[in-house]
Amino acid sequence: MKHIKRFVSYTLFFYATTALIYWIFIRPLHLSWGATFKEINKAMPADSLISPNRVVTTRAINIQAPRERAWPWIAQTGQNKGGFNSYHWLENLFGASMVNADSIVRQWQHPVPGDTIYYGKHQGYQTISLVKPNECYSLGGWSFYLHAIDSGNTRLIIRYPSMEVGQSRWTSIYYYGLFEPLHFIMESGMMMGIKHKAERQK
Amino acid sequence: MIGQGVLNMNTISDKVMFYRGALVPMAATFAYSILVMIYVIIRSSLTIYGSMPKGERSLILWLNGFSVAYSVMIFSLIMAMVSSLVGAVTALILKKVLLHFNPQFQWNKVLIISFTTALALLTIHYLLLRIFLNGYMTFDYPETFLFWWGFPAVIFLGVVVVGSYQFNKALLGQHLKGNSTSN
Repeated sequence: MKHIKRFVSYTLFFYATTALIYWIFIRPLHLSWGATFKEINKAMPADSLISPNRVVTTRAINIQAPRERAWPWIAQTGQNKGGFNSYHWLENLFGASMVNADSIVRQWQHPVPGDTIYYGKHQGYQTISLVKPNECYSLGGWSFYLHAIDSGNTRLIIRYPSMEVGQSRWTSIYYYGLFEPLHFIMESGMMMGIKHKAERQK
Repeated sequence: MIGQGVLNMNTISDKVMFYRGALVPMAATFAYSILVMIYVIIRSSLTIYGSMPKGERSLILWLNGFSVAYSVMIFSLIMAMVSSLVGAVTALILKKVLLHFNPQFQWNKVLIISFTTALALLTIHYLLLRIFLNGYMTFDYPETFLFWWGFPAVIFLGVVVVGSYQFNKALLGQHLKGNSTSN
């Protein structure tokens, strides 16, 4: 019993240290991972869909491919389409029944505003609110922008409106404790997934 | 000879059983969570390693690793509270069942009783999940089943059997001590 007590104490100490590091160093960086100051503050076409009292994250990544090669993977986003290009094995632990398409599927290449996009099987959904092929795709404010750096390089910028500020204590615990870090893990995974697939495509 | 005499019911109090029953599953939940944490960090880090160029890897590896650790930690604290409660109740049930059906502290009976009790509780747990989460429970993927139910069930079985063994050992020790004192 003494060993068990000691193990529980060490684990709690490890957890407290992890939480401290996360809040002081990690969270401020992951909220704008990869994005420049200019990109964070830049007005984007789908900003009008975001209510002003929301916590907003802006993240960005370089893709060594023209935006026409990145776009098809964004166009087929959704559990009911080509997946989210993220960690599908992690999504499936939560029963999402996610399958990431490994190729571009022609029938999913023409998303239009109003299309329903599922986040997982029996889970939430959102409708597409804005589409500009090769430029912009928005799911109720969660927006993906492709900016051409030059003919062979693209900047993928994702802006996400998450929790409204001033929520109840329990909602805040859920949001800051689980949703926010998990969303970062999945969104950054998605950005790297799109980058990987666009860059390997010939 | 081992196995003689009837046990004094107050040798290990309900309070002690409740406390130990709560502590052990809490430790088991933490251990399981740390294994999950390590698994997710390693697997996602391998993906990152394959996707990001050398100069841009380290920051995302740190951010991803700590975000995984932090979210698993929060989830494990919530689950530890639930499992402590379940463990404490299980310990009390086990104490009653063992004292009732095995007053002579026989080891083979301990194994059978603890295993049967754990299986019965797991069956009730599974049925309750089926009733309340019917639409959301999906075992389409073996890893989903193993992660949420398979591995925790195996850990629960192990903890119940080992806990019962320890309980019986403590009772037997006290009993023998009592016998030698009275002699």
